[in-house]
Amino acid sequence: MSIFLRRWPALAWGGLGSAIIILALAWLVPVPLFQEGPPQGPGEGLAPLPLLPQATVTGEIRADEPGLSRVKVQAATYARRNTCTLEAELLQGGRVLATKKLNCSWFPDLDWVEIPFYLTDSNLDPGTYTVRFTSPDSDPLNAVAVMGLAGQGVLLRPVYRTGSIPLWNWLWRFRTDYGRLLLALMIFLACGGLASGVGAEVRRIGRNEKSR
Amino acid sequence: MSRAALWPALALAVLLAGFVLLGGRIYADYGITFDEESHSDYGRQLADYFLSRGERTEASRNPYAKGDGGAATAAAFGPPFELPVELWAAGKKLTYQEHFLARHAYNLGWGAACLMAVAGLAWRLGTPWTAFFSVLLLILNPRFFGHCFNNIKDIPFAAGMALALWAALAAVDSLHKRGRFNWVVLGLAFASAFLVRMTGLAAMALAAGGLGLIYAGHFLARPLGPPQVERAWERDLFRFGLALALVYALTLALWPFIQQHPLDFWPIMQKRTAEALAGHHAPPTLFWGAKSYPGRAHLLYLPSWFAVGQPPVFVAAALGGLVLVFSRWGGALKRWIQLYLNRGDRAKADRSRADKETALFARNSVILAWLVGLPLYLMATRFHFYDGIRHVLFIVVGQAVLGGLFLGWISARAGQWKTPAKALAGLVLVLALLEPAWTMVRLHPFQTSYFTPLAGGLKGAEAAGLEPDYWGSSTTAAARWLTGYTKDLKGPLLVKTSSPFSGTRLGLGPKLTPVLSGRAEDRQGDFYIGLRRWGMEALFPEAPVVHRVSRQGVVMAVVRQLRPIEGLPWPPRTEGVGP
Repeated sequence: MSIFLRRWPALAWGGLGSAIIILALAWLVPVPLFQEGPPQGPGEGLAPLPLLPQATVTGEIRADEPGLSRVKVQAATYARRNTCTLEAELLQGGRVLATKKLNCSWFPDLDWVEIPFYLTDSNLDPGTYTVRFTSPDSDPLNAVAVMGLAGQGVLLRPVYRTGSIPLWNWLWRFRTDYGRLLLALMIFLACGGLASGVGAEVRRIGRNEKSR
Repeated sequence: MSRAALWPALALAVLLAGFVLLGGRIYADYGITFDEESHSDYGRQLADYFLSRGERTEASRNPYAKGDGGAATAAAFGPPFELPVELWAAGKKLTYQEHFLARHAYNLGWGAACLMAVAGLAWRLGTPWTAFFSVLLLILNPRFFGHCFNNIKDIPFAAGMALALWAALAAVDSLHKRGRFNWVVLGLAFASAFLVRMTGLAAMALAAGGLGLIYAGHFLARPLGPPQVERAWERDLFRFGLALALVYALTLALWPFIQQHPLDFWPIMQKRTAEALAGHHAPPTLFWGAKSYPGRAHLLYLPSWFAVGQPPVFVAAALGGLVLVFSRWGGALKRWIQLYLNRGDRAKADRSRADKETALFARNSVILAWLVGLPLYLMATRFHFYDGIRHVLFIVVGQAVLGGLFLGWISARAGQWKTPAKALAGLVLVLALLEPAWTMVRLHPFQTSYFTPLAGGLKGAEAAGLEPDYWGSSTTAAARWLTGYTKDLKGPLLVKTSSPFSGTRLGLGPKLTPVLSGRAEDRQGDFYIGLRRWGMEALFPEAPVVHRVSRQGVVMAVVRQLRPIEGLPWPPRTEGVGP
């Protein structure tokens, strides 16, 4: 058997080996799980709050669970040049935990856009945090807005990290189509490698018989 | 490299370098077309997806990703070709204006890659001079040249197809000589076409057909003796499968939203067919004065575009090359049949020659299937290409190879001619090449609007009902002119505009604010920029025209002044009220 296998071509070994490596990786690679919380902010009378140079819009977000790792904000554009910068700070007790700047050129004009501010990659504890928005390089012809109510906050959505699971489990749980694809790829590689090896062996036996 | 190949290789290098240097000087002159913004949006959302490590999934909600509604093109696009420039733009934090300039510069890179792929393909099919002439003809094809700086996707696809066909022919040749082919190269080449458009599937079919012909020829030639090269069919099949799996894996990695993934190819095609049958169509185009829709185009729609949209020298050389390839294809088939018929005669039957003829037949079959078979299929299905031949640039690059084959063939024979005949032939060729070169200079930056002088140029095309402007790129030129016209004024000034909004937005200076005319009915505008296309120049008919963007006497866009403005004469030094 060992002599039989040693004569298999590299293509056969490559096919079989790749199938095994993919299977191993699918089991070993962890995928983080996230969960979005409900939107928070003033419920009635929401309006675009334009971020002009001197304006600062502040909102509060409450993390009910541990693992707060993302904050999303509802922004709006209203037929301006939109080449300004939107800046956000995440604070707790006056201490700045994270800052983020976004170029507004990319926001679709005259539209609503929920912007995920990846303010922190760390998992924050439950509690109340402040998010402060500014746009220091804006002007009346070049500004965007965030959705909220003047003096009462901004529409924000918390995103929590809830743990991680192996890639294989994640695929079959959330993307069955991808899971099937991966399984099909492994079967194809294994079968192709096997066919190449057996084919080479059959030819070798045929050549040996002819030479006799 | 042989001594004989040195001069043509040097000439080719100079040509390519000249193209890149020239392109680097002029790429900023080109306007922004209708769908560049939507492609850019999708590309940016894809970049966001990767930069956020899969967290930002706006791209999955983009109409291009959904593949539903009015985005019929979603069925045919693999937007990852946009990713590199969008990732770069995000990393460099480019402004809106810089971003579009970067996209146009990026497309120049694709144009250079396309020329190199064409050179490689032509060199494989002919001689180094074939490669030189192919590249020269392609650069002097205004439709190809103009697209290198506009509307990223058609040139990348043309480059991908040229690469894929080059790799397919290399595989056909390898199978004949070594009995195996490089599946990694083939897969990457397939991916380069497939990741831009689903039409890239055609390259895989062509390669499979070419390899299949080799196997069929060798199977039939068994009575002529043992094969020169062992063919392990299960290994070749596995290799071809691996090439496809590589394409698929790359597609999946770069195009993560499976709802428009190639897996959905058949459902999407069914949907498009159902839409066409139900009467929902892609945007119509003007063709010979009549509106043309998918499934209803005239049988001669495609060849007519090839004839009127390209320089006479290009068309003539491509036709000459087509005759050459047909004769080689027929010759190989004839010689193979003669060898096969002599299978009983050991002195005449020759397995190794039959195998060589099989390879020659297979390689020319691949070329003919690409450059004759696909166009015939498109003609038979009455396929509709809005905006002329931009959708079939992947066939135009092949026509350049045909033209190169023909000119290379002529130049090889010219060595035996007498000096006056050589001089005359050279003079005719130079004069024929001067026509597109001179017209391209005069049309700049609207080379994509080229029409052959045999049909009366742009003027003749307009009279015949063909569309003179290319996807509204003239609005940028109008906006740039207006910026210069108002440079001494105090802002802000409001410029009402028709689509493409981004084209105008890019061209206007900081004192000028663009507003889509449909969204600003209640606001008093200062100027209006309108396209000739779809009659949008006729809005605000009472306002005087202060500028026209025109080429060869054909107006593409107009600028109107809507009210008296301090610092500017009123009535303005008008160019007339009408367009």
